[in-house]
Amino acid sequence: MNNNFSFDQYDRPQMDIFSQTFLNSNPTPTLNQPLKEPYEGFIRGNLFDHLYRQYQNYRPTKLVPNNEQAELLLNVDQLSFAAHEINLYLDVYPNDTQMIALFNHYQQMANEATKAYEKKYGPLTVNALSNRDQFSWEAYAWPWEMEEN
Amino acid sequence: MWKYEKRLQYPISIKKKDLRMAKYLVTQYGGSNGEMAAALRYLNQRYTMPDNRGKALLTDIATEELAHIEMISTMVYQLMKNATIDELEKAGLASHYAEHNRSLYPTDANGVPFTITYVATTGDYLADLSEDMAAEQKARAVYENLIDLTEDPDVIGPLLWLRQREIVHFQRFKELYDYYSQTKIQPR
Repeated sequence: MNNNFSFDQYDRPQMDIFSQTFLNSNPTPTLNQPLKEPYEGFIRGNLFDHLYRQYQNYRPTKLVPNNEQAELLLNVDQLSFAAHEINLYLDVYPNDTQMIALFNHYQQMANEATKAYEKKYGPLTVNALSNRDQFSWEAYAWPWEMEEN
Repeated sequence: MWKYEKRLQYPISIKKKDLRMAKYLVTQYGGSNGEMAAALRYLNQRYTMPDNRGKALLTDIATEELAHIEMISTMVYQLMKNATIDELEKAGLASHYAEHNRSLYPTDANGVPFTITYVATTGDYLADLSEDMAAEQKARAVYENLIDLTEDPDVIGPLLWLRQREIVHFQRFKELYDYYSQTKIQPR
């Protein structure tokens, strides 16, 4: 889970001499990047439109959930993916405030989607088990056994 | 430390048994350009990145590669599920059965077991990042080779998706490489 992610550390003074130098010369952030919406970005495996490279004539596979569980899981998958893509971008461009806001937005939505899934279809992390009487970690299918699309 | 999420990064549901494809695909589990090599490469290199950008990027991409190991493992497992000994023999997997029965084992497409010699560290972050960029390109090429070898949409979908991840990772490594090489810092 990425819900404890914080980029605060980048703004603190660094003792490391290399970091000190780097902090004074930021890479140019590529602002206003054309981003796909979470679903479209997720099925492409690439949230960044200008980075997408199609292979031969293959189009991205449309993911159509055929039951409620698959639908709730697809929500978790696509929102977590959007947050993760921006996370990797921010690793290199930690001062891009537009993208930080977008990361916070998608991460919040991913957290909510995770809670909605877990409420009906079991825990996605052991942490989700707190305050429950039963140990339901092993009561639900493992990812390699799921038939979800 | 790491926490496990009980879901795949991208859904996989292969309905059709295909031992021939399992034999090829396993290389992205335990081959030189596979996901295990990628994860261990970045995890091992991150300590000597010169600033927090490098430490963060290598940690986060390595973590994603762990999720890709799980995706490839799931695909190999589902492609081999319920295979008879006769079918395994016909697909050239009797030697795999002799050692491992139907369980997973990280090898390349020729059955050569995974080795950490696929991974390098030099202590020079520009050299290490160059290796990482090359690794992403090689993995992308292997995914294209694998897509060429199958017609099953349940297999092609996740392979296209994983291929696209190599493109994004390459781009991030390249941006970091360009940033580091533009700063006037001697590699340590």
